[in-house]
This record gives sequence, C-alpha cells and structure tokens, in this order.
Amino acid sequence: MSKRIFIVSACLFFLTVSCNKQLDLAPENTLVDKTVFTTEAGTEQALSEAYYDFMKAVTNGFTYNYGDFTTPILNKTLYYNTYTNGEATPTDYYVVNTWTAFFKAINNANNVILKIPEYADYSTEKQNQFISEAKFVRAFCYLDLLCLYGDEALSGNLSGLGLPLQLTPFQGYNTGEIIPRNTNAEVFDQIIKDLNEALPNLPDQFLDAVKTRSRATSGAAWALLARAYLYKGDFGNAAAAAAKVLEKSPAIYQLSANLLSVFPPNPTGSAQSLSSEYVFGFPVSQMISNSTSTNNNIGSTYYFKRSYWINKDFINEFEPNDLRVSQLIWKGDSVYNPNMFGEFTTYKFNNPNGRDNVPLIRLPEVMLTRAEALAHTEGINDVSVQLLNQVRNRSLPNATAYSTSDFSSEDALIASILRQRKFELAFEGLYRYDIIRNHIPLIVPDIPENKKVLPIPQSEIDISKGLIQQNSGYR
Amino acid sequence: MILKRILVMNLIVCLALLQREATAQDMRPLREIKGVVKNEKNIPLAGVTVKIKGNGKATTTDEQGKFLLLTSPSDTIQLSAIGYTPIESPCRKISVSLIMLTHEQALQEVVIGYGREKKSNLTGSISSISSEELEKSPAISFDNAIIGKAAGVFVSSSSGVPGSATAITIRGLSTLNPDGSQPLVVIDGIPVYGSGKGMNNKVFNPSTTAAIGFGGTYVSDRLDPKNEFENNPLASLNPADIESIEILKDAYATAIYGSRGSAGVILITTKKGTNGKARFNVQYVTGSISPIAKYSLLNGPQYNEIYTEYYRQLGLNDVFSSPYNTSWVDSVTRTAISHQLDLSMSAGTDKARIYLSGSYTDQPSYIINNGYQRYTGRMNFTYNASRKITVGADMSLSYSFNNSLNAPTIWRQAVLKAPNLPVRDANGNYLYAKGTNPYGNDDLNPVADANLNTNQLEMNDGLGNIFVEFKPVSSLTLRSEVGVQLSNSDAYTRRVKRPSGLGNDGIQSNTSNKKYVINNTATFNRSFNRHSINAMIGQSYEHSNENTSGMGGYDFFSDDIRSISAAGRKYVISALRQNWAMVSYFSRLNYEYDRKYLFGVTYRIDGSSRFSQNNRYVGFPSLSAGWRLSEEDFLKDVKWISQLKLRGSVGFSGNNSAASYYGSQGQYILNSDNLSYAGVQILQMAQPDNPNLKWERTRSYDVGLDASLFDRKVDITLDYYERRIKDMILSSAIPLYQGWISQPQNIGDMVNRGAELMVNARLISHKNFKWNTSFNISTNTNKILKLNFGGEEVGLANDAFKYMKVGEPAGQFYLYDWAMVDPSTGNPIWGDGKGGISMVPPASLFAVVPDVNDFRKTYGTALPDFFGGIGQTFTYKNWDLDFFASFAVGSHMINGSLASLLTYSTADANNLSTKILDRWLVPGHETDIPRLVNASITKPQGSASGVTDYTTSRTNSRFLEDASYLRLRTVSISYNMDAQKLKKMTSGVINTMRVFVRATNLLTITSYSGLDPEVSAFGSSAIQSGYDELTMPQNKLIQVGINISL
Repeated sequence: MSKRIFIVSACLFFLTVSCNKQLDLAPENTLVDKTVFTTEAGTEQALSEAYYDFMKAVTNGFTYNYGDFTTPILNKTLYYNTYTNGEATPTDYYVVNTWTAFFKAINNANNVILKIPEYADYSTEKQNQFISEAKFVRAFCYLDLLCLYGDEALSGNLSGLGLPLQLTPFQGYNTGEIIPRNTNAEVFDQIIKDLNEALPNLPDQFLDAVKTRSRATSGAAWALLARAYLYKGDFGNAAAAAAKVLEKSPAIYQLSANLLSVFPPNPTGSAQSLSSEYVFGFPVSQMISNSTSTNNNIGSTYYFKRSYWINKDFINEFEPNDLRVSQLIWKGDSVYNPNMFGEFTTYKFNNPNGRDNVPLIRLPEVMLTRAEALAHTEGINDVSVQLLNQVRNRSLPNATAYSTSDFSSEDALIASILRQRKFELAFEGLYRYDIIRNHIPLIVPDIPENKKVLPIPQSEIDISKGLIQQNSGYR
Repeated sequence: MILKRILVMNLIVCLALLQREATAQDMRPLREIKGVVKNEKNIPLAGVTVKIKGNGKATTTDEQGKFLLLTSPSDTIQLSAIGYTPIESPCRKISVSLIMLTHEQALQEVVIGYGREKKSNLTGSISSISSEELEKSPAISFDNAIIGKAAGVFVSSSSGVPGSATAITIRGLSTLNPDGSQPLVVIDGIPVYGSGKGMNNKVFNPSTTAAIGFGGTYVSDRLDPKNEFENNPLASLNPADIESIEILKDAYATAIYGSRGSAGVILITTKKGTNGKARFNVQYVTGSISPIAKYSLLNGPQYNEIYTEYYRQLGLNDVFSSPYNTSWVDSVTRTAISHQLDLSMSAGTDKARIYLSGSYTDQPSYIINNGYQRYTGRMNFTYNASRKITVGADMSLSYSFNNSLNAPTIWRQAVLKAPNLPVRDANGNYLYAKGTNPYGNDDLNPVADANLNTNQLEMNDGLGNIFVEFKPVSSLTLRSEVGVQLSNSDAYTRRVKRPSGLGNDGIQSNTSNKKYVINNTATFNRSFNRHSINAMIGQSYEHSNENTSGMGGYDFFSDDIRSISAAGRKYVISALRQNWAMVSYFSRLNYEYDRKYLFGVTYRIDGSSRFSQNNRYVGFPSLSAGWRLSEEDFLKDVKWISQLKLRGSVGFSGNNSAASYYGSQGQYILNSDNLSYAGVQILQMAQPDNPNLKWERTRSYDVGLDASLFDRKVDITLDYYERRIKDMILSSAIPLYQGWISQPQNIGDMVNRGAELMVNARLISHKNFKWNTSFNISTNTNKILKLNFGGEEVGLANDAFKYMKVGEPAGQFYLYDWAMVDPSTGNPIWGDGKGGISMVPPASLFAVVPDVNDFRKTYGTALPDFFGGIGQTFTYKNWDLDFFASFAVGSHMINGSLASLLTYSTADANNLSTKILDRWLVPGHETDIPRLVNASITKPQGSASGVTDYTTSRTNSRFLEDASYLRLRTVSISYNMDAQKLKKMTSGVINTMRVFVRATNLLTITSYSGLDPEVSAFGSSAIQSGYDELTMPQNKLIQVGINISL
C-alpha cells in the first residue's frame, strides 16, 4: 500500500518537473515573432506594414506638402507661417508626429531585418529580397528625415547633426541608453550603404505590375541612390546611379506621352494603375479597407484650396501652351469654398477625397537628376540637354528643342534643368529641397540656413538629458 | 535535480530512523479505572486510543468519550487521537476526566506557506484571524469581515452593492499598476483567482446608454461612472467554513510565494472534521437591510425655484413649473429582509475525519428588485489509510446569483432625477421624458429600470484539492496535492425598449476560468539535544486557462424575448482564451537552538510564462532570526513576562500583476481595417518584443516583538517594516527614434515604511464576568524614490487624475486651489498656486499659459495615515456583549457626489443637494456656494471650447474632504442557554444554543460630508481610490439569529 502511494507521489513529482516547455505559451488572438517570421507569407505581411507605415509617415500631416508650401509656388493660409518662417516649436504637433511616424516605419523595417535571419524557414533568395526591401524603406525614411531635420544637411554642411542611426528594432529601453545624433555625412553614408547592400537582392520587377511600382526594385533603389547622392552633392555618383535607372527604360520605365495617364482624372476615387513613369509610389487608390477608404491626406487639401493654392506668378512662369498648365492646373472645388473659387490648384491630386496614388519617384526626376549631375561634372553636354529636352518637350510638343549652344554657361544649363524640375515635379513634395541645396530663396527669402529645417522634438532632448542636441537654429 | 535530492533525502531518512519499541513488565495488582475524554470545548471524544505505557494493553473511548481499563496504580496511560496532541495520565485515581487539545490549540500553530509553524517559533510577521472573529461579522465574504481586524491590512469596501469588490492593501501600495496591490489568496494550499479589475469586471450596455451632459455646458474634469460592475471573487467562499485566516506580511512569510508575494498573502484554512461524536451545527440569521444614510435633496418646488432662477439669471425665459413632488430615492429604495442559513457537521474517528457544510444566503439590496443569493457546499475529508499514509480531499462548490448589478446606476439616477416629475404619467405608464421641464434627460426612469430591466451575474465556483501524505518516519512528511479551481461566471443584461426607442438591447458574457495546481513538498521535523530543525523543500506547478466570450444584440421584436440569438441585430464582443503557467521550486529551513535562538531561511524560484525568456526565472530569498528573550536567565524569573521574543527578517518578493499575458513577446495582428499594401495584407506590430523587462521586486525588512505578559493575559505584537519596491513596471515614454511613443518599462522605485501594534488582553476573567479587548493600529508612509520620466505625471493612474512625483507619496490628489466664495460678488476665488488669488478658474487657462498644471498643488492621498480596529467583548454569566469598531485617520476623498449634486449648469438639469439653498444671494453673504451664474462657469480663454463649469470639476480642491472615520461595525448581544439545563430539557439532543441580536454599521463618526467615507468609485484599485461618485453607501443591518449545536 505505502509503496504504491509512494510511487504515485513520485510520479506526481516527475509529472511536473519538465514543464519549462509549458511556460512557452503563445497567445490565441495575436501572432508572435516566431509564427510571423518563420513563413514567407508572414514575413511579407510584416514587411507590408513597413511600407504602410512609411506611406503614413510621408502622407502624415503636411510632410508631403511641406516640400511645396514653403516655396514660392504656393500661397497658403496664415496658419502655416510658423513652418515657413522657421518658427515651429520643438513641441509642435507636426514636428513631433512626423518624426515619430518615420521612426515607426524605420522600426518596422529594422524588425524585418533582424527577425528574418532569426526565424526564417524559406528560400534564402526570398529572405534576402525581404531584407533588402526593408533596407530600402529604412534608407528612404532616413533620407526624408534628413531633409526635414538634418541640421543644414541639404545646405552642404555634412558635419552638421543628422539623426540618431537606430538600426535595430525596439527591444526594450534601458534608461539612459541613448543614441546621439550622427552627422549628416554619417546618415548619408548609411543610406548609401543600405541601398548598395539591398541592390543585388532586389528584383528588377515583380510579376504584379502594382508591386513593381510600389515596392522596392533595383530601379527604385538606384533612383533613390541618385537622389541621395544629388542631395549630398556627390554629382559623379548621382549621374552614375541615375544612369542605372535609365538603362531600364523603356523596358520598365517610360515617359508617358499623355500627362493625364500619369495623373488620371479620378472624380469617384476608383482604383488607378500606376503609370510606367512611376519608379516608386504609393498605390493609395487601390487600398480599400473594411470601414473606410484610405486617404492620401493630400488630395482634399489641394482640391478645396482651404490651406494652400497656386501662386499665380508660378503659373505665369511656364512657357505658353505648356500642357503642365493646361492639363495639370485647374480650379478644383466649385461648390464648397466660394471664397476660393477664383484660385488655382494642382490636378495631380484631383480626387476630392484624397484617393489618388502618391508618386515618390517618377522617371522625369531621375532624368533631370542625371542631367543636373552631368552638367556639374562635365559642364555643358549633350546628354544633359537631351534629357532636359525629353522632359520639356513632352509637355511642350511644339516647342523647339534646346541645343547645347542655347546655354551660355554651365550655370545657365543647370538653371534651365532646375526650372524644368520645378515645373515637372511641382506639388510632389520635392521643390523645397532643390532650392535649399541650390541656395535659391524659399518663400521667406531671408531665412537663415539653420532655420531651413524643423526642430528636433523636445521630448527627445528631455529624455536624453541633452545628449540629443537641438538643431542650431532652434537652440 | 531538486526532485532527485528530495528522493535521496527521503531514502536516507528512512534507513536512518528505525522505530524503536521498549518493552517492560509490571506485576502489581490490577484494578479497573473509569475515565472520560473530552476536548477543550467540553465535547466528549470518541475513538481515542487509551494505552498503558510500556504494556501493549489498550482500548478506545465510546460515543460518550468513556473508557474502562485494567491498570495498576503505578501505571501511566497514554491517550492518542488523530488531530490531537497525545497526553499521559497517571492511574492513581480510579476515575479520571481528561481533556485533549487539538494540535493547533496545544501548540498554537499557525498556517504558513506550505506548512505550519508553532506560533512561539514564528520569526516572520503573520496576523491570524480565527473563526470566532469572523463569526462576529455578517459579511458574505471574508474580506469584508476582516476590516480593521489585522494590523497592517487596510480593507475598504468599495460600495454597498452586495457582492462588490473590496480594496485590500497590505502594508501600503505594492506597485503603481492600478490593478496590482491586491494580495495573493491561497485557500487550503491552492492559490485562487483573486480580486482585481482585470479579471472580475463585468461591462454592460457600453454602446447605447443615453449620453449625459449632451450639448450646452460641460463640467471640467468630471468622472462619470461607467456601466460596469466589479465582482468580488472572494464571495464564493462561505466565511462560516473558515477555520482561520493567516495574513503573511513580511519578507520571511511572503518570500515563499515568490513572484506573487509582494502585495502580501492571505492564507485561508477551512474547517476540518474533529474526532468524536458527530456534531451538527445550525445557524439562522435574519434581519433588515437599509442604506446607512440618504442624501438631502431638493423637493419639487425647491427644484423649480432653483432652476428657474438660474435660467432667469442667464437671461433665458426657461421656467420650471412642473407641479409634482417625487422622492425618487425613496421610490427605488426599501428596507429589505436578509436570510442566512448555515448547516455543518463535523465528525471523526482515528481512521477518518469529515466536515460537511451547506449554506444559503439571501442578501437583498436596499434597491428594489435587486439582490444577491448564494448557495455553498463543502466537504473536507481526511482518511488514514495506514499509520504512515493519510489521504484527503477538500471540496467546495458555490453558486451565486447576483441581480444587483444595476443597483449602482439606479441609485445614481434616482438621486439625480428631477423631483418635479412623477414616476408614472396620467395613463399609469412610466414617465421617461422630462415633462414640462425645459431641460433634463428625456429618457430616464430609475423606477422603471429597477422593475423592468435585468442585469444579473451568475457565478459557479468549484474548488477542490486532494492530497496524499506519506510519513515514512515520524520526522519526515512527504505530501503531494493537486488542486483545481473552476470558476465560471455568466453575466446577462437585458433592457426593455423605452418610449424613446432606446434600450431594447441585451448583452451576455461568459467567463470560464480553470486552473490546476500541483504542490509537492517534503517536510522534515526533528529535535535532538538542543537543536530543532524544521525543513521543507517543494515544487509547484500551476496552470491557468481563462476563457471569455461575449455577445450583444439589439432590436428585439418583443421585450419578452430574452435570448440574444433572437435579437434583430447581433454582434460579438469578445471570444478569447488565454493561458498562463508557473513552475516554482521552494525551500525553507527553520532552526532553533536551545529554545532561545531561532533562524530561518527560505528560497523560491519562480518561472512564469508571463515573462520572456531572458528573465523567466527569478529567485526570491529571505532570512530571519528570532531571540526568545524570556528563555534567557536574566528574564526567566521576571514573573510578569510570560514570553518575550524579538525577531527580524529580510527578503525579497515579487509582483507579476503588471505583466501581460505572454509577457513581452512581439505580437502582431492584422490591420484592423483589413488593409493591404500592393495586394499584401498588412500585419501590424501590436506590441514589440521587450525581452529585458524585469519583474517588479520588493525588498522588505521587518523587526518585531512578540510579548505575552501577566500570565499570558496580555499579548502584544509590535512590528516596524520597510518595503522597498524596485523596478516597478509602467508604460512610459521612450526615445521616439526607437519607433514607439511609450512602452512598459521598469521605471520606478517606491518605499513603504510603517509600524503596527496589536494588543489582545483578557482584562477580567472571573467566573461570571469576562472582559476581553483587542486593539490594533497601523501606520504606513509611502514615497516614490525614482521615476524615469520627468518626475511627475498627471493622470497616470488612468482616469483617476492621480499624480506621481519623486519624493512624494504615490497617487496624490493634484488639484486647483479653490480658495473661497467672494462674499461681495458671489464668484469663486481661486489660488493661483503661487500665493496669489484669481477670479479666473486656473484650469480655463490651458490655451494661454505654457503649463496649466503650474496652478495645481498636491493634497495628499486617499490612503489613511493611521488605521486599525478596536474590539471589546464582555461576558456576564450567559450573556455576551461584543463591540467592534474600525477607524482610519488621514485619508482623503473627493466628494464627487456633492460635485454632481451642485452641478446645475448642464442641460441635464439634475436634482441638487439642499446645500444649494445656501447659495450666495446678496453682497456680504458669506457662504461656500457661489452664486448660480458665476465667473467660473465660463468659456476657457483663448480656446474654441464651449462654456465649461469649473466649479464642480473633480480636480478642484473644493470637494476634497478629510475622510477619516470611526465606524462601529458590529454590536451584538447574545445569550447562551445553560448547557446542563438544555441537555436535560432536550434529553441530550441539543448541546448548546445561542440566540443573538446584531447591528452592523450602526454608527459612523466622520467629518466627511458625503454618505459613507469608505466607498470607492474605482472598486478594488487602491491607487485610484478616493472618489465618491454617488457610489452606493454601505448597508445598515439589524439582525437576529439563533445558533444550535446538536
């Protein structure tokens, strides 16, 4: 009897000894790292969030429009003066939210980069592709952040303070463990490094046409690299990188003959394809949720002209009969905002509910980048003029093409290229950065260089006890 | 490893200790002696083994406890019975009457974690509460019955709703997590599902409740109680089944519960069968229930006058003239009658012991048509399979039906409903609308709600454990036990369709919690020479599975349709299963030398699924020492000191309340809008991997003194402690460049320091007159030592506007300074926080000053500086008179009830307190109530917000009151029938009979101007406590009862 019970109790002991495994419990209503990153499908879905967060960062608040309303091409309401005057406070809602949103996307990209090697159980080719896509997103976010927050990053001060380079996902915060801001040069280098590492593993195109233009491809990575070098002032590399993209034309990328196929009329907010001019963009029109449709947060602002509208001087700058005026500038709303009925706005985002796709890199940008970079390195040259003509003549089919003799100097050629950049890429969030890096006045002409960026959020300075320094214009 | 060691140790002990039997012979003449054996309660014991020492002869006692044995005068008899301490008696007399004491009584043992310990040997700090103390309270759950009875344990009943939660705080706050200061509750060795909002909150009708405060003026920083009910899980245990409660307070006592010990541990031991003839006990109690007080509210004409005046002052021609005069509170309240029936049986032989009990409780609410019923049953059984093996089981089942979930809402609505409206209209239908009143809620009738709506909670709770104990040798006990708790609750809400078309909805939610626990322990107990060792080593595994599902429906085609499935429209609220598990190893060694010096050490390792791999296992050590001074030569001869012991302990315990399920693993969910990016579904990171999150850890010191003086007539226990809590987890800001705004972090340290004194005295012990008194008092001060954020955070404790700052106590009230009402203008005057005054409410300046919090000040916390209890028991012949009062000093409360009852500015046009009659009227009028239209009901400066009423904001010192109180909790007078006479009268059927009258919450002395200084709108959360938001006051009970023992 006692033996039996002894055995029973001994069994009970054993029953409970090896239960460390039983402490590894997984939740029922959520997925954990392991379940997500083991499979190709799960990883791709997690990567999808990195793209989505990147999209939200770019379209959040006024991030995208900031590149235009701070330049003379737009008029704006008084509300935006603090941002154009360099007077935004470090606790400003947009200052804090924009910063946070980009770093959220970076964190997701970092998470994909870290977790794939840890858990992935599928082809290494796919693993490398996903990691490379994440690096593309991270590089893009850092370049955007540099434009917004890097202390004189585009004014040519490479030793100015850039951003904290956070290259691993959040895995707990130990008080005081702060990454101070790296220099602008270091951030540029990281962007270039990420893109160079990503390039060998990125596909030229996806089977799905939408993915080819809204996810990282080798073309998109080269194009972003070209932009990064251009912004950094490294014209040789910028020209070379841009050439890599142009090699893929016309196979993958092509200038559309018709501007309205790039920026199609979209009164009802239906799904629009991304034209072959898109090197990279967000397919907003195709994103429909259960409850409400996704909004690019850009279209309605332009359509109703409540915040900004086109400066008529800008319209007058165009050459006569430019299709970019006749086709891409209109009056938008004619019902709701009577005070503004006489003003003009862009047709690039013509859906009143913001249901248009959002271009981030279009082929003309890459062409003009190469033209500008070559003009810097080689002076007046045929290739630059030819690229300039392709962009200009698409919208001015009857105009006489430029020839090298039309330009008295290298500077005159560059000025002409920048002018086309301004016309071609207007309202696509880029003009501000072109004029900063070329020391052309912003809408507020006498603003000092160190005010041409946003302040760093105050909470970063507070939590780091000053280890993260404020931008020099805001100290 | 540990297991192996246990087995090896076990074997060694088996071999080493062989039983020895000495034999001797005595040849003197024999004669028969007669004896009777009883226990300390004078109950005869049957089945006691009576053996002659050194000679095999033995017998057992009969039903009447009698025995006969042939002995010689030089013999000694030995008496033994299971559960009783063996005694010896010489055989010189031929008739003996012997008393045997149970182990507990003989040794004064107390239950400690995974074992028992002689009270005199305790080196930790433990408060014990006996069943006799519990029986004095009419409370339906033991947590309400121990209020004021144990030093260092602050219990506050959150409201007068039957079955509602209490906040139990042992030695101060244990964490900043609002849900984390609740102690661990262990019943017969099984840790059970305890209180806490997370597990016990029932939410109902969240979506379709008519909005309060629609349009017009808003009240700044107000608290609107939610439609929810926090259930008290401890109510499933019938207090009559409890033999004793031990509250473990210091490190040495709690460290054995490791990661869950930080907030203290309550050990409950249920009654077990006793040897001897079967004893039956019947108790029936009935009585009246009413609220301890009611508000003084405006009647219909007064209501008309005030509101008409207010709108006239505003320049509006809105006249209130409805002619009715209804007391809504009287319409929804009643004097209810309660019933409580307890039956129990206890019996045992040396082979088996059994305790059986059943109870029925009917405690209606003083709100009409609301109440609480409970049925419980228990069987505790022990069987000695052999001399070395004992098996047993403790099983209990309880079912409760609580349909008073609506009571708080009905009470609140009745208090606030316009008194100039009738309950029913001219056609006899319930009137929901606001009649001719220009303002008011158009869709409210508390009487109709009480009578027509259903809101009930059914709870089934089963708790059982079976154990086997194996004693290979007398010094070693191996024990394995398996415990299971099944706890199901089924909440159902159904509202009928109101004339407005609203209502007509229902919600049903089920919670099903299951846990099993396996405990294995080996206890070694041995004394040799001057050494005494009591060692225990053990291991435990615990697994919990918690299921919730909920569904809702609306658009029922008839009010008589009850099933959600028949609703016109249905939705799923939740459907989720969650698990957690714990593996633990623990050990304890107590060593005593020369009966003077005591040493103890414990160590526990806990591994929990709630924490991530990197910090999964944590060890919790503790050390203690004691010195029994009274055994030393220099005190041995001091007559008035019966016992004196100095003790101290240091150790660690933890708190796992802040850990979510599945701890800090990265978690992903599909985008809630089911969005795709370029055709790929977006999987969102819901929570990042946070692998370095550490357990909250408490380091406690305790020094104490146990003294027994004047021939053990006075017992004194004195303790001083410090509890330093490290690495408290709270969600807090991180650098934004890490991708998140805030994440749970080990952000702060906190300390509690306090002292406790407990005195029990048997002042007079004459034959006819006895006077016993007990007194305890505790103090605790709390201070935050470190917070990683700026050092202050408002609103940290969720909705409770509480404030945290380094160097100050946690959970302070942080308020704008309401100075006075200006006698010349009738406008409120505010302090500006810098010594000046202002007519502008500081809170209204949020848009024009950098930080509006600069105007605020701290005003102390809701927890008391001192608290305790006083008990007096007088016995005169057959009469007993018993008083018990509890007190708390230095606690604060925001009288949100008064704030609600002085809010006339909103379009709700609620009823008001009669205090409004003393509003400022003419210049020179000195009063606390500003003029109706005043400068603090205003638009905030520089902001687009509408008119805001700052006079009744909850962040306004106007409503902060001292909530110190002394409450006479119970008074009872009982009469015990004379046992001898009773036996004669009933020919031995009835052993004892007692009749009693008892009053509960008869008297409260307090300066608090609300109804009850003890309520909390935030249920079991101590850190959020201190708000009276028309919370239902406690019950006043007047009861009569009879107790019969057969």
